[in-house]
Amino acid sequence: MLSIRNLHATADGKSILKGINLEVPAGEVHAIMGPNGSGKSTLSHVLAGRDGYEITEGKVTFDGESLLEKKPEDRARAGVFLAFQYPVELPGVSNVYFLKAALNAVRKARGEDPLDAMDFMKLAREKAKLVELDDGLVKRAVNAGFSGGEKKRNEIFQMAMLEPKLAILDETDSGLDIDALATVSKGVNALRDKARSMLIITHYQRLLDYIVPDVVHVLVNGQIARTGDKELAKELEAKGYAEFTGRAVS
Amino acid sequence: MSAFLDSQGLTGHKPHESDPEWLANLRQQACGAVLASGLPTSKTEAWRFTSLRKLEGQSVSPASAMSGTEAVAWAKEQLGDDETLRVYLVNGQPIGESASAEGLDVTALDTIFLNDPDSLKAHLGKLAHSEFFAGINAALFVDGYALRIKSTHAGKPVHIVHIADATTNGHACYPRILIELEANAQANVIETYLSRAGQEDVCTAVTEVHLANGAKLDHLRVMEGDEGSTHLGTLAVLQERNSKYTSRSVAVGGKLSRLEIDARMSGPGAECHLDGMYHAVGSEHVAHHTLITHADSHCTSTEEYRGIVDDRAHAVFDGIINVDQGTKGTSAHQQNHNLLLSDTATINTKPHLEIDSDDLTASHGATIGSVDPDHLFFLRARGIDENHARSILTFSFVRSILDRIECEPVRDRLTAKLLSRLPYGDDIAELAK
Repeated sequence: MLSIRNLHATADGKSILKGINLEVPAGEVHAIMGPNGSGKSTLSHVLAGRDGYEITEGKVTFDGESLLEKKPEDRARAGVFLAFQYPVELPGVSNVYFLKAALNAVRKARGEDPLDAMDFMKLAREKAKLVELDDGLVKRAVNAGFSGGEKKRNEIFQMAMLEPKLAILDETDSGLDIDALATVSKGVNALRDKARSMLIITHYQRLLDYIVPDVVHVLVNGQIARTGDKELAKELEAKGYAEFTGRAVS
Repeated sequence: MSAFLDSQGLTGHKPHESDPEWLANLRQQACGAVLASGLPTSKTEAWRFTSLRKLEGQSVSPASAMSGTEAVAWAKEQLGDDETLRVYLVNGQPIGESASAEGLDVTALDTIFLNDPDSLKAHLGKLAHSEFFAGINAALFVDGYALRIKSTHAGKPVHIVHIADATTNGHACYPRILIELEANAQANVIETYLSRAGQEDVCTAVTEVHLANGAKLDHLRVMEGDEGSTHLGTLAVLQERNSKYTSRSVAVGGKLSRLEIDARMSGPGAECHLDGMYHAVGSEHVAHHTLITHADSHCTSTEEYRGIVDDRAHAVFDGIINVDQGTKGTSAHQQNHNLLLSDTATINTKPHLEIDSDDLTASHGATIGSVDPDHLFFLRARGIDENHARSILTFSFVRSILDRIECEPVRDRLTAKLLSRLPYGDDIAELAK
């Protein structure tokens, strides 16, 4: 599904990703863990196509096609979804309008007919239940005045609506209390599918108690330092990243 | 002497025959002031950012309302049915029936001059200053409307439709409106300034508003000109105790569109809320100059102007809040936010407070920025193409102002008008609903 080969990227002339190799087959959930500044968020942004990064080497293929030349909207239409660490607030833009525009753009790319207002609302109500997002929030302006937990639930709601092939969850657990974490994770688990891959980017093992990964990678200083199974996450939780960063355990 | 002033007959100006003596004096004073000062130059602080050099050399002649009925038919088509009680002025002159309803009297000034001129003496020409363009209007206006609103009034908004109908280049008109609300009266008044025919025209408009104790007025003022229109508007407001005035300005077109607001809260407990939305493209110039005076205690004012400026257009916001000495319990807040869509557009923003009191809460602020790249990326990362995403973010930058327009058909029409001017605006028609 996703294949990353020797990916190097810089931002403002500073080298951040220094040769990443990663294979995520269809249906698998991979976690990427690492200390602050290791390049986790950069990797998610580079995959989604955010401006401000220069790819100096390497390639990324998604579903057999080269990804890096594509515009962000074309990646989304091809099935890449990024759940943002900091979802933006858009006063003046209703969730319903925004998501209908997004969904119909994605459906068009998939060769499907656009949904009309009624079918869209029916689908939205059904999917909103997955993350317990009430009707009021669905109809409000995008994330405007939402709590941290509501914003993250809204991200997963969008993912449920757009049904991507690859979901990248960038620090989805940050800023969530334990109840919100459980709700968000339940939503994500409900979307696990043999045709859908997921890349879960997180600093802490906590999230992986709820969303159990098939594979865990440790990203340190722009490279994958180790790959293992879910036990690797527990080991990191116990020992920290000192072994990889060369710094003493504090 | 500039061709602009000379051509309008200010030199040797004679009052109109129907003028009562107090009005004749007022016109004479205004005329004298304008002739003495000439047109403002870039050295005049309030005109630093709005150049009149082109206007200065332009000869204009007062327009007649010859084509009145035709122009009204045209305006009706433009505006559709908006569930308001309408009156029309073509080139500053009332055309057709005036409106009336319970507690509402709308009468042409000329009619009042004939029957009961002194009923206008208290406020006509007394609220607006007589410098520059307000002075030109005072000297030269021929007719207009007076709206008198009693506390028994309720119901539909009153819509004053001004049409500048220049049949040849260089027409000038001087619309004059007086709005008086008696104690505890409430009203919703809309003024729309339209330009027809795409010729060069100059509209020098003055509206004076008086709110007696406890009166409440919602006042929407729309500048909707075309590529040939110059609009130089003055809005003067005097508020008594516990009155509440809300002014909303919408500027969506015109070569030069400028509005000066002078609102004075002269009694305690008054509230004054000014907001506005402007969109300037091509080489349009749009300017809002506001002065709010807190002349008594426990008055509240808020201001929020939001604008979009594209191409080589130029937008100006210049806001002063004046808090008089000895006043207590003042609340004054002022904001101006601008979205700059092009490297060649210009924005000048100058919010400021002049405070002579220490018992108050006050704030002011201004921003100028482009479309937020984080917002743009978020929308694109969900599959929305870049042009569509930009158009969503551009419209949503100002929609909060349009959404406050209470009269739904008017709000919908102005929203559609804005969308028709935005790049890819048609793509987001559904967003505006």
